[in-house]
Amino acid sequence: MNSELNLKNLDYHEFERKNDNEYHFLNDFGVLYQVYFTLGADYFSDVYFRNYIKVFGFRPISSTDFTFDKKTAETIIYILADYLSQDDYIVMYVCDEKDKKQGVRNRLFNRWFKKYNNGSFDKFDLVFEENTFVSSIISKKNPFYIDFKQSFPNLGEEYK
Amino acid sequence: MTEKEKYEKWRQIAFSMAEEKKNIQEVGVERAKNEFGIKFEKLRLPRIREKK
Repeated sequence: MNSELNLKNLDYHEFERKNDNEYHFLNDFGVLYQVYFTLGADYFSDVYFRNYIKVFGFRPISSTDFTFDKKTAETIIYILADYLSQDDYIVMYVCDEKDKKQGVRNRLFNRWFKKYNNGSFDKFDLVFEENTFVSSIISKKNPFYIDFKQSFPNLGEEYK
Repeated sequence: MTEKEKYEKWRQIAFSMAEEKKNIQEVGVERAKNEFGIKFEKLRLPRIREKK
């Protein structure tokens, strides 16, 4: 298995599965969150490991307020790490562009990754037109690691 | 594939993912399945938490 994160150190809320495709948890502010993974295969029709590519997301469903305390963050991290531990998955996400705060969200996720990654995962980030932030998280031991890494362009001056 | 082709491929993926994300964030998982045909992963049940 890929994940080498020590999940026991995370202080997370209990969560439950709903309708096969969602996890729900309630944070200390009374905000109910929905966490989901979509199939990324359709984006990579020419890639042999496409069925291992998933797209991660979450949203508050009882409020419009994205308030993150440490335990809310660690619950989301736990769910993501637990999912990554199940198979040789590559998990991607794009920052929500609601309210034009995708840059803020990108910085938040970067902080989370630096804080909770113990060095066994890599994250590849791309930004398009200074607006659309897409990131991919993959274990360095993932058998598709090299091929996935090589799918990224070498971003030189011509692309800036 | 050239670097420029890789870049363009990823650009298209990023914009498509952003659009999918926008739809899910607006209507939630169940409606996104029905209204936009978005396919979601079947999740396993959460594991029982181990006692510390």
